[in-house]
Amino acid sequence: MSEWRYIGAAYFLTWATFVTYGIYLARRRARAIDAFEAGPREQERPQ
Amino acid sequence: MEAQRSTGGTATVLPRWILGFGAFAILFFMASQVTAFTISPAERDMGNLQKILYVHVPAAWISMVSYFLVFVASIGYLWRGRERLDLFAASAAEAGVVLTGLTLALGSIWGRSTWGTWWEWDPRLTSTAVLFLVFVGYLSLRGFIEDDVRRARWSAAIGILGFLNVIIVYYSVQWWRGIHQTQSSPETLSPMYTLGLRMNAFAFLFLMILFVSVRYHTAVLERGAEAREEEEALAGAAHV
Repeated sequence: MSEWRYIGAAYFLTWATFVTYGIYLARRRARAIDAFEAGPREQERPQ
Repeated sequence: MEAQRSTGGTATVLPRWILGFGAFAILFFMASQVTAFTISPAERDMGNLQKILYVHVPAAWISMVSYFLVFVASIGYLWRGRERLDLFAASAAEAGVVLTGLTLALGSIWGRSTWGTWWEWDPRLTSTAVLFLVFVGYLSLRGFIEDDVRRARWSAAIGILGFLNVIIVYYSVQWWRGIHQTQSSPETLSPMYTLGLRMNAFAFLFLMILFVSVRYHTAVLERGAEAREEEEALAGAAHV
């Protein structure tokens, strides 16, 4: 493999890691907001 | 933008400073990567492969900063008993694991291209792999223990003991002879290469702060939802 393939692999891996972790954080946050807001909404419903 | 909603001091929107800081961190990271890639000339011995160091070394440095945050927050939790310190430690540990995993993978690419091997049982490499596994264990443990206080105490103990391994990782290149070179710093580099290294070190630091902040606020929300579920379960049991 030429040196540029190694360099490309290293930079691609760095960006891919940060983008993937960023997506994971955003999705986990969206789930947490749903779970957090579900409680008060349930309680607001007439019994 | 979603409406501000706050219950018991827990807001479901991120503080404005995180959004602004996040935009800055991402732009600074992009600028640092372009700078390191374009301005550093080919090195005499390593050629262009030295460009890998602008991502490998900052990932290693900033993972150590993450574990230092775990260490401080864990001591703080054991001392003050505040749950949010436990949540902060866990958030920093997660960022640390991501960065250590990246460090190992980038180091492997570096090793293959310069040493001719993907992996060597060198003291620095081995101690870093152990550090990675310790904090993967830390995060796994949190999933196993249901009781909040026990989970936080065990996590704090592992967070403090796990940080001792950071010291071993740092000094491993001085204490034992191995294939890994000794510490890199701006003082040991030609000025032509320090700008890219410094910029990327700060870029990784800013991204780590962003990741930990977002993760911490998510953990607080998750804990709020859990606490309410527990309260509702207790109230339901009291009515029966």
